[in-house]
Amino acid sequence: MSDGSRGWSDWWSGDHAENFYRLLLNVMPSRHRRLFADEMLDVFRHQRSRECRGHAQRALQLLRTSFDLLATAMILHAENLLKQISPSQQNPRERFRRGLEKGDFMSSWVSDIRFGMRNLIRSPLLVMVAVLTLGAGIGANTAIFSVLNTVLLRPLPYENPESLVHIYESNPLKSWTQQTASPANFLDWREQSESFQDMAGYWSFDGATVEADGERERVSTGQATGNLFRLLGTRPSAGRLFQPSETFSGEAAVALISHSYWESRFGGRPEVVGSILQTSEGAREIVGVLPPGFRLPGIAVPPQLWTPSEWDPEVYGVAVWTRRAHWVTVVGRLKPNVSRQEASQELQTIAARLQEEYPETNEQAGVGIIGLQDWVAGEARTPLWLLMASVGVVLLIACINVANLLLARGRSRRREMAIRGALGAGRLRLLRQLLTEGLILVLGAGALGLALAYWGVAFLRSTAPDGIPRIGELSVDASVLLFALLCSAATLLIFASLPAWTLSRAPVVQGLSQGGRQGSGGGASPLGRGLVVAEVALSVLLVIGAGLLLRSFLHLQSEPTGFDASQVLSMRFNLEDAGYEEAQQALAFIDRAIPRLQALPQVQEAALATSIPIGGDGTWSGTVFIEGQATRVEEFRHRTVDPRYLPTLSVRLLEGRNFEPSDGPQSQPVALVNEALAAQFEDGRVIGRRISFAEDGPQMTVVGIVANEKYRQIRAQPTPQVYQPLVQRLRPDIHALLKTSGDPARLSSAAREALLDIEPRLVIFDVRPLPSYLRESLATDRFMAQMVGAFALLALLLAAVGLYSVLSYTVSRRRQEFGIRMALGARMSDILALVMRQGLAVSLLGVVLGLAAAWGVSRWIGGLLFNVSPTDPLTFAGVAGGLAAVALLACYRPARRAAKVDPQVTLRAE
Amino acid sequence: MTQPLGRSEAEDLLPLKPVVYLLLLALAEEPCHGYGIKKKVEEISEGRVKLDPGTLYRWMGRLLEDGWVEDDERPRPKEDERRRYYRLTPRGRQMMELESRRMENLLQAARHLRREESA
Repeated sequence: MSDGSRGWSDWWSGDHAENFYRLLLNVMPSRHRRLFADEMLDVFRHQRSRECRGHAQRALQLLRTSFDLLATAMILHAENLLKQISPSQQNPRERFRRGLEKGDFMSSWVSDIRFGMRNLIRSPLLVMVAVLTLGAGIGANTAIFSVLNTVLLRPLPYENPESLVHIYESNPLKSWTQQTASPANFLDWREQSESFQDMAGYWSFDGATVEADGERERVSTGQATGNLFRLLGTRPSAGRLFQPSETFSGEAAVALISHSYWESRFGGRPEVVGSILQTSEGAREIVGVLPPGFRLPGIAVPPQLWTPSEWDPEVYGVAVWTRRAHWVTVVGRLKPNVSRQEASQELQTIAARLQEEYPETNEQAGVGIIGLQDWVAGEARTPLWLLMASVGVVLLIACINVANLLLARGRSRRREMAIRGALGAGRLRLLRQLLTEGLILVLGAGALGLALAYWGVAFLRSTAPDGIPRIGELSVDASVLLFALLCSAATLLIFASLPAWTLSRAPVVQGLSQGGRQGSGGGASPLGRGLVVAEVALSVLLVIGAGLLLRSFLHLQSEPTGFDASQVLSMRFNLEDAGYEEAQQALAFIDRAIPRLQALPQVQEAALATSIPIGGDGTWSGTVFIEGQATRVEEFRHRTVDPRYLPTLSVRLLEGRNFEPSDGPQSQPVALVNEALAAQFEDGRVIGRRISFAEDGPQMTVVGIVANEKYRQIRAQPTPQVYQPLVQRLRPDIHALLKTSGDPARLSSAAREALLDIEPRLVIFDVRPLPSYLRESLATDRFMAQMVGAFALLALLLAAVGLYSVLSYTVSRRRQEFGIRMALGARMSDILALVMRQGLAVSLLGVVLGLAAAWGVSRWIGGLLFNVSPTDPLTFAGVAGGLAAVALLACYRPARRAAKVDPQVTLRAE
Repeated sequence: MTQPLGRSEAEDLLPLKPVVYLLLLALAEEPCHGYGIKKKVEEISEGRVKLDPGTLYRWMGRLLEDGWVEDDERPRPKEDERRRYYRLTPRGRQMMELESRRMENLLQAARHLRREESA
């Protein structure tokens, strides 16, 4: 993970280069690789350590040896191919001679390569520009493809992943589209359906405190039904996994640990299996270790400790709450020959039956299934394809630029081609010569691109937000290499064949008669101009995409959340760790903790709550019953806070009063509701009304209305919330929130000590500034805006360079014409206007086409945008204006050069 | 297989490619490993020929396949234990000597010609 933080220049000298070369060795024919790969790596290593001084030399060596390797591989593959075609080559005696004979495909090709090299060396600037632009394009594409490959294409690391599905609940009444299941419903699905080999469930919960070797620490925890690992086909690294029977026994005091926890906490010792672990959930025997990197979809923080769900059959499936509460993530494995469609239909039937049977909890409750892989890729799909499309556009523009360069260079080579043609070189041979030169460029660019991609993957692994599923598995594998290869081949096809085709077509006589002189008219060919139009249009498209994402991100950042997290420090602890026997002790702790925290220097406000608005959890949802009202509020979030919560997070009280210290554990139960919930009180009277969470449940009096706080996601619409005083509904998992006048991070140790001073048995964890949760929740949006923005900038730059070079070229070809015009009385400003007009016409056409294209396809990213329409007029207008300005800049210099033409000089030159 | 070829058969293969000749020369004195061969070639060619691993092993592969060089499996000092050493086969030595002689002849002819000119 440290890869990304290392300097860019270190890259050339570190192990990266060696790993990269090792990776590259895979392109050799397998026989050769088996024989010599180790030795080649050895020579490579010695070369680096003994012959290269400094970064520049190392970088050059890497580039040179990579090129050498790719060229060698190409020759060896070609030889193998020829061997298959004409077996006579296999005779070793023939070989050394044949290789030198004229007319042989290989030898003439080798001479093509040599000739091409010599040709290219004569224009080093062209080679550099071409290799750099194409290399950057291929590199970026390969790196992004590796993400796409990891996240979307690579099969999930379970047995026969294609038959695994995710089963979820839906309910239009509660506006659920994809909700975790209630245990009781899950149990009924499992029992009644015939389409599945098996169904299993899992979830993560608050975590637990583990005590080992006299040290106590907080670990993340997960629970699974005993059949989960068997269903997934997971094999343990040590010991065994859960058994199906362990779900219902209720007494299986066993646990599994994750591979990383095994290594970090127990040094990977196998004898840990069978030992007893003291946890806040009781003593448990560690029966096994999960395989390295084991992850389950839908769980953000991989649990370090797993326990089997202990479901008492007397309760689960029987008690109403096991059908009302929803927390189980369900996966199922379809029987062979059962389609998802069939399984889904069967589940619908079961769900309909359950609706009738349990009207109280299952009103309108539906069920749905989705392939596990599709579910995992889920929301990452659109962003990733968008990234892929963006880098694709960048590469396309890079190709166009290089094609234009070659086209321009080709025009000055007409004469050479004509002479070679006149001397009897076939058109095919000329074409091959040009393509070979292209191939040499692509090989260089491919080597550079692979190096960049390799570095890019390391960079992405350390910077990509955790919100992208499976990002931890990111690596360069064979399919990525293949992609880079295809990418290079496509590049070659686009940038080299166009110029090659136009050039090799040039009539011999015409080429000889005019090719050597400066052309008298025209300037850039229609093809060249068309390419510039295309590249401007493509960059407009990309810049608009980036503009939309950026605006959306800014909206997200400035979206009112209903609370002010700035300068607030958050820390968590669990009162269970204190081992209090009675609620009274916990209440006493809370009584002492708040004044103590408030007394800390720099602390303005301090509060305790069982949840924070964004990030973390610790809430539950359910139905609100309002006194004297028939309609219930089907879905709300429950929050537990103390009286200082509202001032600490600056949540506005709109009506009524806040909780007060007098709202004690024994006094009249009270509640606060948010605006969204208040709006559902039918006669508008809210304060003083009584609400409850079950038809016959205990009643609370609403004492105040608070402004909506965004919950979990800034994008989400505000949902109804009910707040209860902490002391009236105590839960052990607590956040302490401290509003400070300075940097909240500086307060962490003082705050920690203050709490430990009151209760030394506490384990304090997740000490971090509250804004970091907000930042985390926007990480994916930020990442997308940054990446697409960077690609758009690159595209814009490339397009500007393309425009500039084509115009410069035109101007240099038309110097004579300008000279004559000026001699005939044209003023400097006329010439300036002439060139500008031409350049702007081309770019404006590009802009218009780009806008039209963007209008057509931007709908596609609508789902990623927040409060911005995909056809946002401001963005469209801004980009059009901005691009016109860039075009103006790119045209200005060549135009000025044209205007400064001295008629005497140019005319005399003729 | 690795025995010297008949004279005419061997001369058929001449002239050798410069890089092949250099590789044979590099192994003429003593068996050597990959990186050593590369350094030796550099030394013999006075720094003009620098082989990168790809090219080096493409030619080594050919020479091995045609039986001009072979693995030298005698025990090595510890630090080199895992390295592969190569040595010339009789056929390789024959080819090297034939090419040397061919070049000498050429050179002699050239010198002769120059002497006549200056005379």
